[in-house]
Amino acid sequence: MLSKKSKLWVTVTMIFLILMALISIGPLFWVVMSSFKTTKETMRDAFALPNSWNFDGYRVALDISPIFKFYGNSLVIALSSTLLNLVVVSMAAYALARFRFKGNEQLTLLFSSSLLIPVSALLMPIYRIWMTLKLFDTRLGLILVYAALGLPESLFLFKAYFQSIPKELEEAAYLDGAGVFRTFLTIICPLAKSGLATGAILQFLKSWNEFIFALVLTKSTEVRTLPLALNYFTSQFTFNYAAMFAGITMAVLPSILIYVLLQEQVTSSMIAGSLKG
Amino acid sequence: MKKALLFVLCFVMALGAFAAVQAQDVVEINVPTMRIGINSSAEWFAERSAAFNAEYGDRIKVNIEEIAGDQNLVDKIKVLYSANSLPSAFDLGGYNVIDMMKDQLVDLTPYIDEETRANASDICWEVNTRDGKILGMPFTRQVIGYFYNKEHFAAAGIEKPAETWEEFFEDCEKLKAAGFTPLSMDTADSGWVTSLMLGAMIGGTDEGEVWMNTALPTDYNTEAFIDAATKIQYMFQNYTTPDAIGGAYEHAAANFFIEETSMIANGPWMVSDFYDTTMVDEDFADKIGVAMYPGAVMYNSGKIGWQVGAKDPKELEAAITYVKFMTSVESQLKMLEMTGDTPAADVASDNVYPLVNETTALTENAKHSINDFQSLWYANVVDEISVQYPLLAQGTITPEEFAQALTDTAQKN
Amino acid sequence: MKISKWKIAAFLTPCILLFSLVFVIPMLIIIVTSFFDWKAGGIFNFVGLNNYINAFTADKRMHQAIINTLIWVALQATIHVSLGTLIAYLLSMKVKGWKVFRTIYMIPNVISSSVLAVILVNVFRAKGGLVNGIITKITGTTFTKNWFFDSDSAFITVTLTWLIYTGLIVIIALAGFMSVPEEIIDAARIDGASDAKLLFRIKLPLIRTVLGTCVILAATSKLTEFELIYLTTGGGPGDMTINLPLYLYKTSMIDNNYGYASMMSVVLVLFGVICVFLIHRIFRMNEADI
Repeated sequence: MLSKKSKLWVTVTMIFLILMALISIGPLFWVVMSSFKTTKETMRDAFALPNSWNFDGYRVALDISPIFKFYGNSLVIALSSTLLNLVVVSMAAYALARFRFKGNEQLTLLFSSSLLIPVSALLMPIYRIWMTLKLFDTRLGLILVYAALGLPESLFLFKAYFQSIPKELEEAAYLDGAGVFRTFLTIICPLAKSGLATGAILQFLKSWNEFIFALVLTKSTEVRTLPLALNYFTSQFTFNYAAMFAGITMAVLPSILIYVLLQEQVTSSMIAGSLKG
Repeated sequence: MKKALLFVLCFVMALGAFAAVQAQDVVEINVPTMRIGINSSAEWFAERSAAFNAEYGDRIKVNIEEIAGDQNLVDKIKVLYSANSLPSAFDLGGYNVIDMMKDQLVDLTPYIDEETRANASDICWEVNTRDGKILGMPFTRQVIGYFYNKEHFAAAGIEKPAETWEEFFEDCEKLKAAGFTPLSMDTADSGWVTSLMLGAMIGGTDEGEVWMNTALPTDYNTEAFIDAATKIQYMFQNYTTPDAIGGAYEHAAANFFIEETSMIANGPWMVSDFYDTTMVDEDFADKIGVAMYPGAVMYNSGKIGWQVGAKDPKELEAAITYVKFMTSVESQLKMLEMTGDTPAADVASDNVYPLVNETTALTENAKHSINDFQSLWYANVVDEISVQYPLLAQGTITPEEFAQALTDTAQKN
Repeated sequence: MKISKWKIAAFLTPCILLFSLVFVIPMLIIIVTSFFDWKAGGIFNFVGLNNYINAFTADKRMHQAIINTLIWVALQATIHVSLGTLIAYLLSMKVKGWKVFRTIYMIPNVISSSVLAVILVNVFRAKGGLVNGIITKITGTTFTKNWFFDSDSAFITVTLTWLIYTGLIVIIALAGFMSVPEEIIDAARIDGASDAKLLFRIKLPLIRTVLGTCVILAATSKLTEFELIYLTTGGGPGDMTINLPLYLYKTSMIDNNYGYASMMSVVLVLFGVICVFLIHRIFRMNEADI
């Protein structure tokens, strides 16, 4: 009786999970499929399968946009901003999670308030400051902005993870005579590995996908990032669906690939059971 | 004494040589452009840039900033403007920022001699002039009629394009009866195709023609406007495709290309697509005709051209040289041949698709010549149309309320 | 254990510097200019609270933007987080292929919102859209609802573009569920606790700071949502799907009314501070666990 019930339960669960999965990747599948259709085919029936494997879209897309250069820039900028974010924010998060000092709560609130500042409000002031500081049109300029944009999310995440680590572990380390920095590096960080990895992935993706700052804070092809490439395929009076979908596919697949690979990293760190100490 | 003279002479010569070297110094100018990627004039811009480099490359270095997407360039220029750092030279494909930026744009009047003036017709200069100052260097003209599918017209028993709007609506009924969707329409990106129809309806009287040539109107509560909005509402509800509401130009065009709809309002730059077999069937272009709007109305006016924001005198001089090159008759002709865009000067070429020349020829018989809403109306009104059209189309608001909403928006400026 | 002040400072300083550069200084500029009539063309006059008064009394679009923003925040903080937590819970039971599911759910969050918007506009298109296509196949009659642009469906369709994509919540909550020490679960099982009791009495309370983080991330992401609305409905039809960041963008970039836009930023940040404060209280986030 019980097993029948649980079998039904498992089936319902699976149907639900599969449905959600279809909603999540169905649209993406459609983009990849459309990239192999000609513009004419897409116009006639947006959801029909392609008549043949047509790579014209890819040829045109590569022809008219510097997509490979943008790949390189995106990679450098996203990785650097992730590293910067990870180091700077994890230290602050640890201090806020563990140390008692005057203004702790206020500082947390202040940091979190940045989560609430819309990007469109920051554009103009940051543009002016970056011009003054000669950060305009540099990779460093974008790296700083991106590392800061992900600050509140990372802070929350890291803080929550640090808080869930039993205090006794650190206290034991201190009794053994280890300093604060060493304890943080050798005991806390390894324990919060999965949290840190999760934060790093989110930060990486945020930087990888950011569009408006990349547009406003750069001007040369040398430092521009991938999201700007997609605009090479839209214009008010012309359109080329094949090239657009090919462009989207080329922009999106690497980020998915990178995510899937790094995701494995999180999983393995979890399996290592670091959280159980 | 001789020695002293010699010394002075040497000194002067050295100075002269120094100055000559100085003069050969390369001046850099910054030029942002959206004419890249899929943009129909990307090829033109690349060709012209190469030609400029060949001629002036030893003394002027053009740093081209590629900004993909028309709206992105406009947004970027606005940010630069608010930071008081406009680029040396730029053009926005006719999008109007002159009124907003007139305090930072260079007055080009002193640099325009008779010869340059002959490069564009008077109407073109007029559109680029504010308070007696020429702020833009014109190089294309806005000529727009509408295209129709001759096969559809024949099948529906229509002999020639309508001459009055009553006739136009009767023809729509005939097309509908014959199983076609009469009109391509859109609402996104300011509803370009739809708004062209709207403007053409208003411009059918002398009074309306004046209104459709007035910059920055603030009152849309006129009888002519409300009457046109009523017609547009009827068109949305009876004569167009279900994806018109929310659709952009590309969807309107796609419906015309797959021969589902019979008519679309747009300019001659669209003609090259009629021959592009990745988009349309082989003999598509042969089926297409071009017509004036009912009441003998044509869009025929100047378009905002190249603007200069350079501040440093040397940079300014180089920017003027560059802009003059890009707007020369030669550049205009290349534009016509490569994209079908109508030149600002009164020149023609045989080396273009017939439909392009047919469109230009129509202007000679037009009774009313009007300008388009994107060049004339406030930017926020142009933006507001996109969110108000769906309400109008669904009958959620009346044409009167539509006019009021645009009036309210215009008066925010 | 007493930590010296300079050590605390050393941990905090880099973050404070970065934070000041990107947020504090620009925010100060925004706060000051919110009291000015600042428009394109060199207009810059002190007007006191006029922008604020105008926004809360006369500006109907502002009212609609505030209402929509708050509704979306509420929906995201409740339905979105619950859905994500439910999925994370189901996956934490290690159902077949849970790792694959976890990865798949995250994909809409991995791709940029501008790409997601392009895709969804096509999915919900009146003619040739995927949703209408499926309905037409099932019912056998042509279905042409214009999801994003019909007055009766625009708001809900825009909401769907983020409500159902819970990947981020799933991975955070899942990591939380996994961090619950097995000893505690085993002990509870020996005491005869049912699955439901285990979930509601032990697991959820234990990961409440993680859940609080999820709620904050979800709620605030809707306070600043811009691209998915701008690239689908553009705030229309009428004002039906406008929110504060979109209205802010239009005011700044299209109306070029920078002072008024600054005022909106300030209002938004105030809303956000209240939001975060409340969530902190509800989830008792400053108390450590165990």
